[in-house]
Amino acid sequence: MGITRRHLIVVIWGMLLVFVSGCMAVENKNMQVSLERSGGFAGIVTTKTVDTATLGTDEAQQLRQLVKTADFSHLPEAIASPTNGSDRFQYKLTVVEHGQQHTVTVSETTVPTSLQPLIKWLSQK
Amino acid sequence: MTRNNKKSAQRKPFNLRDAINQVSTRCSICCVLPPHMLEHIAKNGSSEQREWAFQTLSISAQFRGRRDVVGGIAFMAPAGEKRRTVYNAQNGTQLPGKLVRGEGDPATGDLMVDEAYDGAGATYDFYQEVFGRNSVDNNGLRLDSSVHYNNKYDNAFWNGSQMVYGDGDGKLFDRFTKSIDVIAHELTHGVTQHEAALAYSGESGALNESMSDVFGCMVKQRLNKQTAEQADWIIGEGLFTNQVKGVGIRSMKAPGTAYDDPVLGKDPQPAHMDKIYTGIRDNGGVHINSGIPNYVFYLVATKIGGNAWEKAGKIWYTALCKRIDSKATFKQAAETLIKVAGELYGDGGTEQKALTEAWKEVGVL
Repeated sequence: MGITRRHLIVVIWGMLLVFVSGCMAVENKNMQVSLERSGGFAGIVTTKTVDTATLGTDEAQQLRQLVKTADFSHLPEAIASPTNGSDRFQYKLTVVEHGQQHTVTVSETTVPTSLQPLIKWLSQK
Repeated sequence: MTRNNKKSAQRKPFNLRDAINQVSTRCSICCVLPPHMLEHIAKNGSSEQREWAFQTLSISAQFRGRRDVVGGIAFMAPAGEKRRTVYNAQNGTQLPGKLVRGEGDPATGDLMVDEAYDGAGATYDFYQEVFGRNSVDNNGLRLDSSVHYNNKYDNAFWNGSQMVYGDGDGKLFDRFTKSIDVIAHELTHGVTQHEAALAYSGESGALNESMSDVFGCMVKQRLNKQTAEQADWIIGEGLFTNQVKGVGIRSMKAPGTAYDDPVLGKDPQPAHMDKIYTGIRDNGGVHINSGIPNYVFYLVATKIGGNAWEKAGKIWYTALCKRIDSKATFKQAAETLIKVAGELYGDGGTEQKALTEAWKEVGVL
Protein backbone atom coordinates (compact mmCIF):
# COMPACT_ATOMS: atom_id res chain seq x y z
CA MET A 1 0.00 0.00 0.00
CA GLY A 2 1.03 3.65 -0.40
CA ILE A 3 1.89 5.98 2.41
CA THR A 4 -0.95 6.21 4.84
CA ARG A 5 -1.82 9.25 6.87
CA ARG A 6 -0.58 7.43 9.96
CA HIS A 7 2.82 6.83 8.38
CA LEU A 8 3.06 10.49 7.49
CA ILE A 9 2.34 11.63 11.06
CA VAL A 10 4.98 9.26 12.44
CA VAL A 11 7.56 10.59 9.97
CA ILE A 12 6.72 14.21 10.76
CA TRP A 13 6.91 13.56 14.52
CA GLY A 14 10.25 11.82 14.00
CA MET A 15 11.66 14.72 12.03
CA LEU A 16 10.42 17.17 14.64
CA LEU A 17 12.08 15.14 17.39
CA VAL A 18 15.41 15.13 15.54
CA PHE A 19 15.14 18.88 14.95
CA VAL A 20 14.31 19.73 18.57
CA SER A 21 17.01 17.51 20.02
CA GLY A 22 19.46 19.05 17.54
CA CYS A 23 18.52 22.50 18.76
CA MET A 24 18.92 21.41 22.35
CA ALA A 25 22.32 19.95 21.62
CA VAL A 26 23.42 23.29 20.17
CA GLU A 27 22.05 25.07 23.20
CA ASN A 28 23.85 22.67 25.50
CA LYS A 29 27.11 23.14 23.71
CA ASN A 30 27.26 26.94 24.01
CA MET A 31 27.95 29.14 26.98
CA GLN A 32 27.09 32.79 27.38
CA VAL A 33 28.96 34.88 29.90
CA SER A 34 28.30 38.51 30.72
CA LEU A 35 30.09 40.97 32.95
CA GLU A 36 28.36 44.11 34.13
CA ARG A 37 30.44 46.71 35.92
CA SER A 38 28.72 49.47 37.89
CA GLY A 39 29.80 52.02 40.48
CA GLY A 40 33.23 53.58 40.60
CA PHE A 41 33.71 57.34 40.84
CA ALA A 42 31.91 57.84 37.53
CA GLY A 43 29.07 55.42 38.28
CA ILE A 44 28.89 54.44 34.62
CA VAL A 45 27.54 50.97 33.82
CA THR A 46 29.41 48.92 31.23
CA THR A 47 28.37 45.45 30.05
CA LYS A 48 30.31 42.84 28.09
CA THR A 49 28.73 39.67 26.82
CA VAL A 50 30.52 36.81 25.12
CA ASP A 51 29.14 33.61 23.62
CA THR A 52 31.29 30.56 22.93
CA ALA A 53 29.29 30.20 19.67
CA THR A 54 30.96 33.32 18.30
CA LEU A 55 34.42 32.76 19.78
CA GLY A 56 37.28 30.86 18.17
CA THR A 57 37.96 27.34 19.47
CA ASP A 58 40.90 28.44 21.63
CA GLU A 59 39.08 31.37 23.16
CA ALA A 60 35.96 29.32 23.81
CA GLN A 61 38.12 26.75 25.54
CA GLN A 62 39.82 29.48 27.62
CA LEU A 63 36.48 30.89 28.70
CA ARG A 64 35.14 27.48 29.76
CA GLN A 65 38.31 26.84 31.70
CA LEU A 66 38.07 30.21 33.48
CA VAL A 67 34.44 29.55 34.46
CA LYS A 68 35.46 26.09 35.68
CA THR A 69 38.44 27.48 37.65
CA ALA A 70 36.12 29.95 39.37
CA ASP A 71 33.79 27.07 40.27
CA PHE A 72 31.24 29.61 39.20
CA SER A 73 28.05 27.62 39.67
CA HIS A 74 28.91 27.15 43.34
CA LEU A 75 29.62 30.80 44.11
CA PRO A 76 26.96 32.62 46.17
CA GLU A 77 24.65 35.03 44.36
CA ALA A 78 25.91 37.95 46.42
CA ILE A 79 29.37 38.14 47.92
CA ALA A 80 29.32 40.52 50.89
CA SER A 81 31.58 43.54 50.69
CA PRO A 82 33.34 45.28 53.58
CA THR A 83 31.94 48.59 54.76
CA ASN A 84 35.10 50.67 54.44
CA GLY A 85 36.12 52.30 51.19
CA SER A 86 34.19 54.29 48.60
CA ASP A 87 33.94 54.56 44.81
CA ARG A 88 34.88 50.93 44.18
CA PHE A 89 33.47 48.99 41.22
CA GLN A 90 30.69 46.46 41.60
CA TYR A 91 30.57 43.45 39.27
CA LYS A 92 27.63 41.31 38.24
CA LEU A 93 28.58 38.15 36.38
CA THR A 94 26.08 35.92 34.62
CA VAL A 95 26.80 32.53 33.10
CA VAL A 96 24.22 30.70 31.00
CA GLU A 97 24.96 27.06 30.26
CA HIS A 98 22.86 23.92 29.75
CA GLY A 99 19.81 26.16 29.82
CA GLN A 100 20.66 27.22 33.35
CA GLN A 101 21.59 30.67 34.53
CA HIS A 102 23.67 31.69 37.53
CA THR A 103 24.44 35.26 38.61
CA VAL A 104 27.04 36.48 41.08
CA THR A 105 27.27 40.06 42.37
CA VAL A 106 30.54 41.07 43.99
CA SER A 107 32.50 44.19 44.93
CA GLU A 108 35.88 44.83 43.38
CA THR A 109 37.35 44.52 46.88
CA THR A 110 36.05 41.03 47.57
CA VAL A 111 36.46 39.18 44.26
CA PRO A 112 37.61 35.64 45.18
CA THR A 113 41.08 34.81 43.82
CA SER A 114 39.60 32.02 41.72
CA LEU A 115 37.24 34.48 40.01
CA GLN A 116 39.79 37.20 39.28
CA PRO A 117 41.15 35.68 36.03
CA LEU A 118 37.63 35.45 34.54
CA ILE A 119 36.89 39.11 35.33
CA LYS A 120 40.23 40.18 33.96
CA TRP A 121 39.72 38.15 30.77
CA LEU A 122 36.23 39.58 30.20
CA SER A 123 37.36 43.15 31.00
CA GLN A 124 39.94 42.92 28.24
CA LYS A 125 37.49 41.67 25.64
CA MET B 1 62.02 40.58 83.59
CA THR B 2 65.54 39.63 84.77
CA ARG B 3 67.29 41.29 87.65
CA ASN B 4 69.78 42.91 85.24
CA ASN B 5 67.01 44.48 83.27
CA LYS B 6 65.45 45.74 86.44
CA LYS B 7 68.74 47.28 87.43
CA SER B 8 69.28 48.95 84.12
CA ALA B 9 65.72 50.20 84.14
CA GLN B 10 66.36 51.78 87.50
CA ARG B 11 69.67 53.23 86.45
CA LYS B 12 68.58 54.69 83.17
CA PRO B 13 65.06 56.02 82.71
CA PHE B 14 63.19 55.04 79.58
CA ASN B 15 64.21 57.26 76.72
CA LEU B 16 61.60 57.63 74.01
CA ARG B 17 64.00 58.82 71.35
CA ASP B 18 66.41 55.91 71.91
CA ALA B 19 63.58 53.42 71.79
CA ILE B 20 62.29 54.84 68.55
CA ASN B 21 65.70 54.98 66.98
CA GLN B 22 66.42 51.40 67.99
CA VAL B 23 63.15 50.04 66.77
CA SER B 24 62.71 52.10 63.66
CA THR B 25 66.19 51.40 62.37
CA ARG B 26 65.82 47.71 63.13
CA CYS B 27 62.50 47.04 61.55
CA SER B 28 59.98 49.43 60.13
CA ILE B 29 57.02 47.10 60.17
CA CYS B 30 57.23 44.65 63.04
CA CYS B 31 55.73 46.05 66.15
CA VAL B 32 58.11 45.71 69.13
CA LEU B 33 56.88 48.55 71.24
CA PRO B 34 53.59 47.91 73.00
CA PRO B 35 50.61 49.80 71.56
CA HIS B 36 50.24 52.14 74.55
CA MET B 37 53.79 53.35 74.03
CA LEU B 38 53.21 53.82 70.33
CA GLU B 39 50.09 55.78 71.16
CA HIS B 40 52.17 57.97 73.44
CA ILE B 41 54.68 58.57 70.65
CA ALA B 42 51.87 59.17 68.19
CA LYS B 43 50.51 61.84 70.49
CA ASN B 44 53.64 63.53 71.78
CA GLY B 45 56.60 62.71 69.56
CA SER B 46 58.15 64.94 66.91
CA SER B 47 56.46 65.01 63.52
CA GLU B 48 58.68 62.21 62.17
CA GLN B 49 58.22 60.11 65.27
CA ARG B 50 54.49 60.59 65.25
CA GLU B 51 54.33 59.56 61.63
CA TRP B 52 56.34 56.44 62.28
CA ALA B 53 54.33 55.51 65.37
CA PHE B 54 51.06 56.10 63.57
CA GLN B 55 52.13 53.93 60.66
CA THR B 56 53.27 51.15 62.94
CA LEU B 57 50.02 51.30 64.87
CA SER B 58 48.05 51.43 61.68
CA ILE B 59 49.86 48.46 60.18
CA SER B 60 49.50 46.32 63.28
CA ALA B 61 45.85 47.27 63.61
CA GLN B 62 45.39 46.30 59.98
CA PHE B 63 47.02 42.95 60.65
CA ARG B 64 44.60 42.40 63.44
CA GLY B 65 41.81 43.50 61.14
CA ARG B 66 40.89 46.28 63.52
CA ARG B 67 41.40 49.64 61.92
CA ASP B 68 38.94 51.08 64.41
CA VAL B 69 41.65 50.75 67.07
CA VAL B 70 43.71 53.38 65.28
CA GLY B 71 40.70 55.53 64.49
CA GLY B 72 39.96 55.87 68.20
CA ILE B 73 43.27 57.42 69.18
CA ALA B 74 43.26 61.17 69.66
CA PHE B 75 46.39 62.48 67.98
CA MET B 76 47.75 65.81 69.10
CA ALA B 77 49.01 67.12 65.79
CA PRO B 78 49.68 70.84 65.84
CA ALA B 79 46.80 72.77 64.27
CA GLY B 80 47.27 73.50 60.61
CA GLU B 81 50.07 71.07 60.01
CA LYS B 82 49.77 69.59 56.55
CA ARG B 83 51.44 66.27 55.85
CA ARG B 84 51.20 64.62 52.46
CA THR B 85 52.82 61.60 50.91
CA VAL B 86 52.37 60.38 47.37
CA TYR B 87 53.17 56.85 46.25
CA ASN B 88 53.54 55.31 42.82
CA ALA B 89 51.71 51.98 42.53
CA GLN B 90 53.63 51.41 39.25
CA ASN B 91 50.53 50.07 37.53
CA GLY B 92 50.11 47.32 40.08
CA THR B 93 47.44 46.85 42.72
CA GLN B 94 49.65 46.64 45.80
CA LEU B 95 49.05 49.67 48.01
CA PRO B 96 50.48 52.09 48.76
CA GLY B 97 53.41 51.42 46.37
CA LYS B 98 56.74 53.22 46.14
CA LEU B 99 57.09 56.50 48.08
CA VAL B 100 57.82 59.24 45.54
CA ARG B 101 57.01 62.55 47.24
CA GLY B 102 56.77 63.63 50.86
CA GLU B 103 55.68 66.90 52.45
CA GLY B 104 57.81 69.78 51.28
CA ASP B 105 59.58 67.79 48.55
CA PRO B 106 59.92 69.51 45.17
CA ALA B 107 57.73 68.61 42.19
CA THR B 108 58.67 65.29 40.60
CA GLY B 109 57.71 66.00 36.99
CA ASP B 110 55.26 63.09 37.07
CA LEU B 111 51.97 64.88 36.41
CA MET B 112 49.86 62.48 38.45
CA VAL B 113 52.19 62.57 41.44
CA ASP B 114 52.26 66.36 41.45
CA GLU B 115 48.52 66.78 40.88
CA ALA B 116 47.74 64.35 43.70
CA TYR B 117 50.12 66.27 45.98
CA ASP B 118 48.78 69.72 45.05
CA GLY B 119 45.14 68.58 45.09
CA ALA B 120 45.46 67.03 48.55
CA GLY B 121 47.13 70.27 49.69
CA ALA B 122 44.37 72.48 48.28
CA THR B 123 41.73 70.28 49.90
CA TYR B 124 43.55 70.30 53.24
CA ASP B 125 43.76 74.12 53.05
CA PHE B 126 40.06 74.39 52.23
CA TYR B 127 39.00 72.38 55.28
CA GLN B 128 41.53 74.18 57.49
CA GLU B 129 40.81 77.73 56.36
CA VAL B 130 37.04 77.49 55.95
CA PHE B 131 36.03 75.13 58.76
CA GLY B 132 39.15 75.06 60.96
CA ARG B 133 39.43 71.34 60.37
CA ASN B 134 42.84 69.71 60.73
CA SER B 135 42.89 67.01 58.04
CA VAL B 136 40.59 64.06 57.38
CA ASP B 137 40.25 63.09 61.05
CA ASN B 138 40.54 66.66 62.41
CA ASN B 139 43.69 65.46 64.14
CA GLY B 140 46.37 65.99 61.55
CA LEU B 141 46.15 62.59 59.88
CA ARG B 142 48.73 62.26 57.11
CA LEU B 143 47.20 62.40 53.63
CA ASP B 144 48.35 59.44 51.58
CA SER B 145 47.72 59.12 47.85
CA SER B 146 48.74 56.43 45.39
CA VAL B 147 48.84 57.14 41.66
CA HIS B 148 49.28 54.92 38.58
CA TYR B 149 47.13 52.27 40.26
CA ASN B 150 46.44 49.18 38.19
CA ASN B 151 46.54 49.11 34.39
CA LYS B 152 44.48 51.65 32.42
CA TYR B 153 42.28 51.87 35.45
CA ASP B 154 39.20 54.06 34.92
CA ASN B 155 38.65 55.05 38.51
CA ALA B 156 39.67 56.85 41.67
CA PHE B 157 38.71 55.68 45.14
CA TRP B 158 39.14 56.02 48.88
CA ASN B 159 40.06 52.64 50.37
CA GLY B 160 39.28 53.51 53.98
CA SER B 161 42.67 55.03 54.71
CA GLN B 162 44.06 56.62 51.55
CA MET B 163 43.28 58.03 48.10
CA VAL B 164 43.98 55.98 44.97
CA TYR B 165 44.02 57.13 41.33
CA GLY B 166 44.07 55.28 38.02
CA ASP B 167 45.68 56.44 34.76
CA GLY B 168 42.42 56.07 32.80
CA ASP B 169 42.25 53.98 29.64
CA GLY B 170 43.21 56.92 27.40
CA LYS B 171 40.31 56.29 25.03
CA LEU B 172 37.37 57.32 27.20
CA PHE B 173 38.99 58.50 30.41
CA ASP B 174 42.03 60.63 31.07
CA ARG B 175 44.01 60.41 34.34
CA PHE B 176 41.88 60.67 37.49
CA THR B 177 44.05 63.31 39.17
CA LYS B 178 43.16 65.81 36.44
CA SER B 179 40.21 67.42 38.25
CA ILE B 180 40.73 69.01 41.65
CA ASP B 181 37.14 68.21 42.60
CA VAL B 182 37.83 64.48 42.14
CA ILE B 183 40.72 64.71 44.61
CA ALA B 184 38.58 66.69 47.05
CA HIS B 185 35.76 64.17 46.50
CA GLU B 186 38.00 61.27 47.53
CA LEU B 187 39.44 63.08 50.52
CA THR B 188 35.93 64.01 51.66
CA HIS B 189 35.07 60.29 51.78
CA GLY B 190 37.69 60.19 54.53
CA VAL B 191 36.08 63.12 56.34
CA THR B 192 32.64 61.48 56.10
CA GLN B 193 34.11 58.22 57.42
CA HIS B 194 35.32 60.08 60.52
CA GLU B 195 32.13 62.10 60.96
CA ALA B 196 28.61 61.04 59.91
CA ALA B 197 29.96 57.67 58.65
CA LEU B 198 27.09 57.41 56.18
CA ALA B 199 26.48 53.76 55.27
CA TYR B 200 27.53 53.20 51.66
CA SER B 201 24.33 51.89 50.11
CA GLY B 202 20.88 53.14 49.20
CA GLU B 203 19.91 56.66 50.28
CA SER B 204 22.56 57.01 53.01
CA GLY B 205 25.13 55.92 50.41
CA ALA B 206 23.84 58.52 47.96
CA LEU B 207 24.13 61.13 50.74
CA ASN B 208 27.71 59.97 51.34
CA GLU B 209 28.44 60.40 47.61
CA SER B 210 26.71 63.76 47.54
CA MET B 211 28.81 65.04 50.48
CA SER B 212 31.92 64.21 48.44
CA ASP B 213 30.58 66.10 45.40
CA VAL B 214 29.37 69.05 47.52
CA PHE B 215 32.75 69.59 49.19
CA GLY B 216 34.59 68.64 45.99
CA CYS B 217 32.86 71.40 44.03
CA MET B 218 33.37 73.94 46.83
CA VAL B 219 37.13 73.28 46.84
CA LYS B 220 37.13 73.96 43.09
CA GLN B 221 34.93 77.06 43.35
CA ARG B 222 37.07 78.57 46.09
CA LEU B 223 40.27 77.95 44.12
CA ASN B 224 38.66 79.55 41.05
CA LYS B 225 37.25 82.40 43.20
CA GLN B 226 33.77 81.73 41.87
CA THR B 227 30.46 82.54 43.49
CA ALA B 228 27.59 80.05 43.34
CA GLU B 229 26.20 81.93 40.32
CA GLN B 230 29.51 81.95 38.43
CA ALA B 231 30.43 78.29 39.00
CA ASP B 232 29.72 75.57 36.41
CA TRP B 233 28.79 72.97 39.09
CA ILE B 234 30.38 70.21 37.00
CA ILE B 235 32.09 67.31 38.78
CA GLY B 236 35.02 65.67 37.02
CA GLU B 237 35.50 68.18 34.25
CA GLY B 238 38.29 67.07 31.92
CA LEU B 239 38.15 63.43 32.99
CA PHE B 240 36.61 62.38 29.69
CA THR B 241 38.86 62.42 26.63
CA ASN B 242 37.68 64.49 23.67
CA GLN B 243 36.25 61.26 22.18
CA VAL B 244 33.38 61.42 24.65
CA LYS B 245 30.34 63.61 24.28
CA GLY B 246 30.13 65.17 27.70
CA VAL B 247 31.29 68.07 29.86
CA GLY B 248 32.11 65.98 32.93
CA ILE B 249 30.92 63.11 35.08
CA ARG B 250 28.09 64.83 36.96
CA SER B 251 26.25 68.12 36.91
CA MET B 252 25.01 69.41 40.25
CA LYS B 253 23.17 72.24 38.51
CA ALA B 254 21.32 69.94 36.11
CA PRO B 255 21.68 66.29 37.18
CA GLY B 256 21.34 63.89 34.25
CA THR B 257 22.86 66.22 31.65
CA ALA B 258 26.63 65.84 32.12
CA TYR B 259 27.12 63.42 29.21
CA ASP B 260 25.22 61.67 26.46
CA ASP B 261 27.54 59.45 24.51
CA PRO B 262 27.09 56.54 22.06
CA VAL B 263 29.56 54.37 24.00
CA LEU B 264 28.99 55.44 27.61
CA GLY B 265 25.28 56.12 27.34
CA LYS B 266 23.48 58.96 29.05
CA ASP B 267 24.09 60.47 32.48
CA PRO B 268 21.57 58.55 34.66
CA GLN B 269 21.31 61.01 37.55
CA PRO B 270 17.83 62.06 38.69
CA ALA B 271 17.06 65.55 40.02
CA HIS B 272 13.73 64.53 41.54
CA MET B 273 12.36 61.67 43.68
CA ASP B 274 10.03 60.75 40.78
CA LYS B 275 13.02 59.27 38.99
CA ILE B 276 14.96 57.76 41.89
CA TYR B 277 16.85 54.59 40.95
CA THR B 278 15.74 51.54 42.93
CA GLY B 279 17.89 48.77 41.44
CA ILE B 280 20.89 47.01 42.99
CA ARG B 281 23.64 48.31 40.72
CA ASP B 282 26.25 50.61 42.21
CA ASN B 283 25.34 49.67 45.82
CA GLY B 284 21.78 50.75 45.15
CA GLY B 285 22.63 53.69 42.93
CA VAL B 286 24.87 55.69 45.26
CA HIS B 287 26.46 57.55 42.32
CA ILE B 288 23.09 57.86 40.60
CA ASN B 289 20.74 59.11 43.31
CA SER B 290 23.35 61.52 44.68
CA GLY B 291 21.95 63.77 41.93
CA ILE B 292 18.99 64.60 44.21
CA PRO B 293 20.91 65.93 47.27
CA ASN B 294 23.49 67.46 44.88
CA TYR B 295 20.76 69.47 43.21
CA VAL B 296 19.44 70.56 46.63
CA PHE B 297 22.88 71.94 47.50
CA TYR B 298 23.04 73.82 44.20
CA LEU B 299 19.54 75.28 44.76
CA VAL B 300 20.35 76.38 48.32
CA ALA B 301 23.77 77.85 47.44
CA THR B 302 22.39 79.88 44.54
CA LYS B 303 19.32 80.97 46.50
CA ILE B 304 21.50 82.26 49.37
CA GLY B 305 23.95 83.70 46.85
CA GLY B 306 27.62 84.60 47.14
CA ASN B 307 30.27 82.00 47.86
CA ALA B 308 28.80 78.53 48.33
CA TRP B 309 31.26 77.61 51.09
CA GLU B 310 30.33 80.52 53.34
CA LYS B 311 26.77 79.72 54.37
CA ALA B 312 25.49 76.66 52.47
CA GLY B 313 28.88 75.00 53.01
CA LYS B 314 28.78 75.72 56.72
CA ILE B 315 25.29 74.22 57.05
CA TRP B 316 26.34 71.05 55.22
CA TYR B 317 29.62 70.77 57.15
CA THR B 318 27.90 71.18 60.52
CA ALA B 319 25.33 68.54 59.59
CA LEU B 320 28.05 66.18 58.35
CA CYS B 321 29.89 66.44 61.66
CA LYS B 322 28.00 63.74 63.48
CA ARG B 323 24.59 65.38 63.17
CA ILE B 324 23.24 63.33 60.26
CA ASP B 325 22.58 59.74 61.25
CA SER B 326 24.78 57.11 59.57
CA LYS B 327 21.72 55.35 58.16
CA ALA B 328 19.83 58.54 57.26
CA THR B 329 17.30 58.59 54.45
CA PHE B 330 17.03 61.70 52.24
CA LYS B 331 14.08 62.85 54.35
CA GLN B 332 15.96 62.46 57.63
CA ALA B 333 19.01 64.26 56.21
CA ALA B 334 16.73 67.05 54.96
CA GLU B 335 15.22 67.48 58.43
CA THR B 336 18.68 67.60 60.06
CA LEU B 337 19.99 70.13 57.54
CA ILE B 338 16.93 72.35 58.02
CA LYS B 339 17.37 72.19 61.79
CA VAL B 340 21.07 73.06 61.49
CA ALA B 341 20.28 76.01 59.19
CA GLY B 342 17.93 77.31 61.87
CA GLU B 343 20.55 76.93 64.60
CA LEU B 344 23.20 78.72 62.57
CA TYR B 345 21.20 81.46 60.89
CA GLY B 346 17.91 81.62 62.74
CA ASP B 347 14.62 79.73 62.50
CA GLY B 348 12.53 81.00 59.64
CA GLY B 349 15.50 82.84 58.14
CA THR B 350 16.34 83.05 54.42
CA GLU B 351 18.82 80.17 54.73
CA GLN B 352 16.39 77.80 56.41
CA LYS B 353 13.63 78.74 53.96
CA ALA B 354 15.98 78.07 51.03
CA LEU B 355 16.61 74.57 52.39
CA THR B 356 12.94 73.75 52.97
CA GLU B 357 12.03 74.96 49.48
CA ALA B 358 14.83 73.02 47.82
CA TRP B 359 13.97 69.72 49.51
CA LYS B 360 10.34 70.28 48.49
CA GLU B 361 11.35 71.01 44.92
CA VAL B 362 13.11 67.63 44.58
CA GLY B 363 10.12 65.82 46.10
CA VAL B 364 11.75 64.72 49.35
CA LEU B 365 9.49 66.84 51.56
